[in-house]
Amino acid sequence: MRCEQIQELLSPYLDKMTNQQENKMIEDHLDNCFTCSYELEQMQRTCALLHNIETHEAPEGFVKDVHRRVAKEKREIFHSAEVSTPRKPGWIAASVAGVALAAGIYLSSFLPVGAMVAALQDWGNRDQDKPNVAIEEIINRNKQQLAQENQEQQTQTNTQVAIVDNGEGQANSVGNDNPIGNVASNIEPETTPTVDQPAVVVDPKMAESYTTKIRVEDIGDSVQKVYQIASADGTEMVLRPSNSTVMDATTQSKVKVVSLLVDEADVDKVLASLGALGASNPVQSRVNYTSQYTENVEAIASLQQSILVLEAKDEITVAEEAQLTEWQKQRTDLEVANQQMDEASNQIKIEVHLVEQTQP
Amino acid sequence: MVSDEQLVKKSLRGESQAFDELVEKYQHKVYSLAFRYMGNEEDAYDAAQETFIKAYRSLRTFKGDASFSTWIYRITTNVCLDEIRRRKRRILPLSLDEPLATTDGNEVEKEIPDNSPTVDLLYEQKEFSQYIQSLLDEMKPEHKTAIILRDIMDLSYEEIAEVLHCSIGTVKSRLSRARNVLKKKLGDRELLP
Repeated sequence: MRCEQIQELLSPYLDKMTNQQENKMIEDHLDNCFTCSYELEQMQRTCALLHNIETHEAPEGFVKDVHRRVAKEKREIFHSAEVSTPRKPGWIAASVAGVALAAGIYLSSFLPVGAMVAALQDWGNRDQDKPNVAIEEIINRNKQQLAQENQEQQTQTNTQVAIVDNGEGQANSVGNDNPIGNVASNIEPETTPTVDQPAVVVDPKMAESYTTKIRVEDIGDSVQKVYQIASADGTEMVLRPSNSTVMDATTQSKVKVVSLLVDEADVDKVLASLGALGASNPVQSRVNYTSQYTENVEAIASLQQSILVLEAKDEITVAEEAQLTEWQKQRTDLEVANQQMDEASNQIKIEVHLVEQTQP
Repeated sequence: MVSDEQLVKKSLRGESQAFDELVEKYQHKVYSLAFRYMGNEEDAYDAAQETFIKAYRSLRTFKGDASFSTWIYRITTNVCLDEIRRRKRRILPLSLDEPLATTDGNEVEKEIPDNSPTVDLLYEQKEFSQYIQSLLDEMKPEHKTAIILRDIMDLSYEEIAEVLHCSIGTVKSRLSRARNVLKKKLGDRELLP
């Protein structure tokens, strides 16, 4: 019986996967037991034989074969998709436009994000009571938007051509620096920083959100308070670039929107904390974004198809290469957008509208 | 040196040469592992190819919390074991002395190879490796897997646990049983000095 127990431990003992206590037990036993010592020896020999077994290397051309099969598979997939989706470059432009509308994530070029970034940076640099939220990330995200805005302004004319020319336009017509951003900024409604803009919190199936209003005296101060609530509850906070000069149509008040990404379990807690700050009763809403997500997937497939056509050529011109790079970039942007939707799918958004009371 | 994780990210961005680099880097390990599972070059080649194609399709699911090597070994293991299971289902038990029917209606005599090595063969590493392989092929898949990953591929217990998605305790007990089974097989054939 004792030998059986010891023999069960011989394999991990050989690999030094037994603990000190086991080692002592095994070694004491081996000193006095010929059978177990023999078993250990035999097991060592078995392992040695296996270690010396001939190794095999992949034959030459293996990598090329994988490459060829991956490329072939991609072509087949997209070939069958052709039946339902015309593969004109113009269609791509149109779909990119549609998708960009759907994905209108992060983009609100009409808002002065720069000022906000500066303010946030300033605030983030203060040492005291720095909430444990991803400030850096928010700032960087906003910086990216700023950069995109600049690009958009430079290339806006081109994009408009691309959208209008979606019937038989050249593939090159989408070839500006950031067609997705451009299109979004052109189409996005300009004065509604509310729930119906799919922000970071888009769920591929259902996006659930709560909207609440807080009347405040000073927007800047209040943003920080909301920040603190968010960080205290461990929620991820997303400051949507919003403009403190946006006016509520009926009350003429300044409004700033702050979005919080909250786990389902934390919703009540965060809402209660906001309530204590004077927030109105939250309005719950649900929006289905499945079709938008799907549109992205379709546009990615379409881009992929065009990319493959170019990639399959033995030689490509400089212009084609630029086009290829551009399409790859567009595809990445869309994939990133979808990934963000995926990531946000398990969270609920609480949108806090900070409404500054007008001075009497 | 670009990390595996960076290469995965680049591949996801559509840079096909980044994926080629990953294939280049892991081809021999994956092929070698597939060879041990499948037992011959042709099947190993197919399985290794299939492994990389599956990996390409599911690159997005690679989270980087495990290493790329254990991730790709896991795919290799699944591809090979699936194929072995599929074949087992398809192949009906045969009687040893009955002639085999071929697809064109003819019949051939079955040749059952006698795999027992002679003393001479023991000195031929290739033959001996083949014989060890035939013993591995007789083992239960879970035992075979444990031996291959630990004693042939030289993975740590932690890595094996990652590949098989099981606990280190399970690796320990499975490997112990597997080694004892193989030890007995070798002992019975007087192949252990």
